[in-house]
Amino acid sequence: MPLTLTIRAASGATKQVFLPTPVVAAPSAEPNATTTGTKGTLTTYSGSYTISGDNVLIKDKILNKLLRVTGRDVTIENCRWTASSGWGIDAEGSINLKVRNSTIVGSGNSCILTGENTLVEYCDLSGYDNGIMLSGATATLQYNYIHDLHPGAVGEAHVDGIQMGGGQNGVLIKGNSIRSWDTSCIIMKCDWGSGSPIRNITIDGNWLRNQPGKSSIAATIYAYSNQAYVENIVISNNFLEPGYTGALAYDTTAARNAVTWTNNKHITTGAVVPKP
Amino acid sequence: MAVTFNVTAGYDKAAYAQGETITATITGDATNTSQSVGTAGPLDLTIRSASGVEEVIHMDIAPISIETITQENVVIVAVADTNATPRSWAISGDGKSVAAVA
Repeated sequence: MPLTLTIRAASGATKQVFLPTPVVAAPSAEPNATTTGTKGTLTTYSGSYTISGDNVLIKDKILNKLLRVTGRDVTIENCRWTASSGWGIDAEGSINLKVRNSTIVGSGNSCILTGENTLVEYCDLSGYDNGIMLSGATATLQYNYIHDLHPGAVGEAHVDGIQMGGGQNGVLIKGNSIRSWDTSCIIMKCDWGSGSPIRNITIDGNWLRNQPGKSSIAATIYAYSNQAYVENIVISNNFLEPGYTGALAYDTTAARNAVTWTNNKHITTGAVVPKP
Repeated sequence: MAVTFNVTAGYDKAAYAQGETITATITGDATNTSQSVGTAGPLDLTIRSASGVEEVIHMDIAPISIETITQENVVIVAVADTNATPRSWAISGDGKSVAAVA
């Protein structure tokens, strides 16, 4: 049972009571600024910006610079960033980080650099070159609103909503709204050597569209073997606004064959988009 | 001492929308049954027949077992969420419920 309550009687005797996972309805509408990000009253964070301990909870706070997380089971809920130093959250090396209902606005590489088994959900992410960049193998990225990304001061626009550069194995990208331009909404490209393929990725039920007002439209989804290979990429039930290379860009026949393409529809017309 | 928990737990709703507060509450208590050893007697029982004749019956001191049953308050002292995407649960001040954001 996922929820275990330990109860104690006045005499000190204890017992465990079990509950099933609560049923939370998945959003049926595209995430936006209302359904994601912070809510309620926040106060200024006064703690350390380097979190190396385990089981740390940061909740209802305003943060103003990069948060470096390397600990295990760190949870960040209902927090707002206005950082402009590379990352909003740099969690490379962390395990089981959870970022929920938070807003990250700033400039630099990515709003979030994930660790191992990172969960990001119901977040409003904008302003950086990329929304989320994955460094760990596994992650769950769901119901986020990723939008208004822009390149940094260097001016090299490689804007991606979610970026996987190699080594990912077991990633769920579900129910997000991603508005991107220049490069992609979601990019899987094995840039980090032959030993870092990208495998077992599910992209389901997302809204992937071009950033309004940008003439340089994005490729919707990239699946590039490049230096290694991609394997078992499931792309299903998404609403897509095909970009300059169509709804799916790939570099080899093997990369295309690694993609299972099911029931993806045009975001405007609702017509089924055949596998490119 | 034996403590029997008569406690059930449940959520306040069958399903939640994103952002709602999930509350799980416990109801019930615990029964604490304890036994101690005491003595009864000695007793002298005076008995009388219908015709009015009386006699005294003596009962020696005897050991007895005394059972005490107490209802005890129960509170939540810990919560563990082993879901693949666990939430942050907070225990209420009275210890009767836990809450998290859906």
